[in-house]
Amino acid sequence: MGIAISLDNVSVKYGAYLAVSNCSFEVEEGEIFGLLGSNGAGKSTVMKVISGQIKPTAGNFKLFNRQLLSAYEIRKIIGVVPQEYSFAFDFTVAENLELMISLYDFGGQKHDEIFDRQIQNYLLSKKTDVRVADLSGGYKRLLNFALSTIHSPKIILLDEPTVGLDPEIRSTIWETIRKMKQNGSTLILTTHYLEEAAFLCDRIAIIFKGAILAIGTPASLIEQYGGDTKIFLQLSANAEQMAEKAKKVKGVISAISDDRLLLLTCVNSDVAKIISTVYKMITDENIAVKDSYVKEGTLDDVFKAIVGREIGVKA
Amino acid sequence: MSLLTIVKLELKFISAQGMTSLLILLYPLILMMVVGPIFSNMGAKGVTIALYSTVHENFPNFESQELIEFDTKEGMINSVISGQSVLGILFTTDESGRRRMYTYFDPQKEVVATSLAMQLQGKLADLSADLVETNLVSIHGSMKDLSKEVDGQLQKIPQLRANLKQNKANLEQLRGSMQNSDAVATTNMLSQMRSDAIGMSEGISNMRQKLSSWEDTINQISTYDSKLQYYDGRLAATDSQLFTLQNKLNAWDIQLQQRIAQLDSAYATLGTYLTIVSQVRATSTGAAQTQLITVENGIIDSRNQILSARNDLQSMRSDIQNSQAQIAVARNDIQSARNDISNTRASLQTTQANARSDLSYTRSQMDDASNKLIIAQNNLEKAQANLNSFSVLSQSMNTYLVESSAQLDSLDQDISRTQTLLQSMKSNIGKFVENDPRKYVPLKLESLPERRTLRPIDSIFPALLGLVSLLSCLLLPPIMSVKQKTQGLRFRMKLSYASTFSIVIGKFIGDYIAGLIQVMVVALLGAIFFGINLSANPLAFSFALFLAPAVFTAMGTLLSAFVSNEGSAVLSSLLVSMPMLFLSGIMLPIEQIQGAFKTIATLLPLYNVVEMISKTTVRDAAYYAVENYFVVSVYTFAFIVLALIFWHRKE
Ligand SMILES: Nc1ncnc2c1ncn2[C@@H]1O[C@H](COP(=O)(O)OP(=O)(O)O)[C@@H](O)[C@H]1O
Ligand SMILES: [Mg+2]
Repeated sequence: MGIAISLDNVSVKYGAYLAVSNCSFEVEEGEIFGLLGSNGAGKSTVMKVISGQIKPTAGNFKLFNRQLLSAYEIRKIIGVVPQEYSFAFDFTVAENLELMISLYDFGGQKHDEIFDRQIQNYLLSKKTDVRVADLSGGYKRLLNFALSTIHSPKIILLDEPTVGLDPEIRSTIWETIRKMKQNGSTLILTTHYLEEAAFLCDRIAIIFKGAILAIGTPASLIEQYGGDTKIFLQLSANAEQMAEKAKKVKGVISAISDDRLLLLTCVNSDVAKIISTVYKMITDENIAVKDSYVKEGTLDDVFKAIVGREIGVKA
Repeated sequence: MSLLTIVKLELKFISAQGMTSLLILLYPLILMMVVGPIFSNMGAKGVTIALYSTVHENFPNFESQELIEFDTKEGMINSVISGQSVLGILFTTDESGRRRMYTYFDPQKEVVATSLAMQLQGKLADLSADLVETNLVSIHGSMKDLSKEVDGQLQKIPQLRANLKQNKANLEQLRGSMQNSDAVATTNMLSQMRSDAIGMSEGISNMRQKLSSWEDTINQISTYDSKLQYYDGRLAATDSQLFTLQNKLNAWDIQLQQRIAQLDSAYATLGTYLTIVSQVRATSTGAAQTQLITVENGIIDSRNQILSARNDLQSMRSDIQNSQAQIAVARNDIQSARNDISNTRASLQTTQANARSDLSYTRSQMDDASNKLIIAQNNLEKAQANLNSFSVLSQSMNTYLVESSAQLDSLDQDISRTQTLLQSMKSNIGKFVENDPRKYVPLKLESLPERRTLRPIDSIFPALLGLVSLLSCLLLPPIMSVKQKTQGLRFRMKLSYASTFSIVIGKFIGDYIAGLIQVMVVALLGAIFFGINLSANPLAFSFALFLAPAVFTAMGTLLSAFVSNEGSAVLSSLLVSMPMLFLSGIMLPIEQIQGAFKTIATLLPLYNVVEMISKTTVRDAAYYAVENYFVVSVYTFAFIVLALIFWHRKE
């Protein structure tokens, strides 16, 4: 597997405003690479650099190890699924798709093949004759995908693909994105949804104020930056006593009690072992665990740790 | 207080919109600043008027308009049809010689043309008025003066006539009493004659004395005659003495001649001797020879003496002959003197006899004259007496003549004054009469029968069509562009394989087709509902119909390159179309626009679109639409090229 995309110290300025600064990363062929950052962090700007819509103010960027490609070459390689819905609202799904297929200069047999393929791939078969304005958000997203991938691009850029969608639809979209990966495309997606990044991405870059602060797989990031695991236990009695005991368990950093509530903070590794040890300890004392909740380290924590604030707050 | 809050909100929004609000609020101001000068400097100035004149008379000069003269009526009409001139004028005379002025104008430009025609009529009326004022008024003035003067003269006339009558009577009387008389001169003459008569009688007595002295003189002639007789006798005696002398000298001469002959023979003889002697001497010798030589020398000496004697005699003879000649001369003189004397005597005697008879005749005549003079003197005395009575009359006549002369002088003055007045009147009337009286008549304006009339809807229709096309075609591309942009289609196109050329030209053609259908529908509606005649130049009109949406669509396509939202699309097309509208000849006739604005206006697309539509329809001057086609085509092309450039740049 080669390198599909590589950015080397790319900076982008809008006038005097530095939207992207010294951004460097590589995306391997066939992976889903996530750009995670708050609104205004510079995600879309990076995408625009890759899709050739804007030229970086400094730095180099390569596609498949080739630099300085023409706009046309970039267009052939890349499919951009923009953050916004981009289609004619008053046309039907089929009309929109046909229009775009024509704009890509696919005629005759090929045209129909592509049409059918896209309808199929993006679950639009029941919606072909529906006016796009009347589509639900999910289908609009899917159509947006369909319109951007007519030419079967090797690289697909997904800018905030599920923003504003309800969770049910979101998972459908996620499935579709996974399928896109399975079909052999390299994907970069931007998102400010941590769970989306965690669920979809092979690797994640955390971008803040135009700068990449960390890159890695979700697990490695959590491991590195995720912080401690919290275990909440609702006991039938003796929480105070159990807290003293739990403090002695290996891996437990702190244990505090409040009435019948026991809160343990422990290291991320060996969480399962700690839980079973503590459970045994409690049941041995004939105390019942009425309720429990384990909060592991998440990308949230990673983000907070790296950026110093919660995601969603504009940078 | 929610109302106040809303007010505040609204104002806050306005200020928050920045550029858009600024444009919305500022644009009308800018527009006003553009339109203001156009309107403030309005009025048809520098408008071209076509003139065809058959009258040899200067057409009134239109300072603020440009007058072009044509040689033919057709030329003039074509100038109007082509739009070069707003008003055409045929200045001519009818069969009766009256001046006529016909106007010809494009019914679409009726307002301007009519106002110009009215101005012109006003000018002509002014000219007539000037003519009337300069001629009639001054004549009137001089007539008035004259009338007064004539009144004065008329009042004087009876007196003058009385004076004349009196003069006549006086002169008549004088004539009666002075017939045949030349009194003073005669008096003078008479007195002269009398003194002459006295002088004459004195002269006569002097002459008598003179005659007596003349008689003495005549008598003295006899004395001179006798003296001459005596001198003649003396001369005769001298002559006879000279004759005697002559004869004597002749005798001497003959004798001398004989002597000379003798000497000559002696000389010859001696010569013969000498020859003999010399021959002998030559043969002889010695003493004999010596003696012979002596003899020879003696002979030579003798011969020389004879020769000298002979020469002396010869000179004596010539002296005698000279004397003879002198004597002959003297005798001739004497003879002529005697002849003179005899002639003198004869004439003296004749003269004396004649003088005597003349004298006696003169005496008798003088006696006679003397008698007559005495009679004349008596008569002169009498004449003088008569003349003395004349001088009295003469004096009274003189007085009369002085008086009448003065009266006649004053009469003469009056007449010359009348003459001057009549002359000045004549020159004024002359000036008045010089002009054709028809010139004093203000000209009426009539329309040429060739002029078409239009209904208001016919006039406005081309503008309507142009305007509809402008507003729609200008707005359609940017609005569609914005729509496509907001729906992300711009972005899609950009990332597709479509070229900028395809995108721009495709968009242009699409919008153009819409615009074309629209103007076609409008044209059709015009034809059906308003009866607009579109069939005058079907081909040319179709071409115009194709061009009109093209140029505005191209313009709109260019605008699309700059607009980002519907607000700015509407605003910018408004920005572009409003000044064009003001300068298109739709809102106000282009002829009313002045200076640079007019030039700009005629170069703007809307004006040319309206022109080409109206030329190919209502004005029926399709041929002249070519220039508008050209301008519009150039714009279309330029806008498309610019649109391509700017779109390309934006991507
Ligand atoms: N065309 C632009 N001109 C000026 N500033 C821009 C432009 N596009 C984005 N920005 C600014 O650059 C920063 C990064 O924007 P963007 O890449 O869209 O962020 P993201 O996609 O992460 O929300 C933001 O602060 C945004 O306001
Ligand atoms: Mg974004």
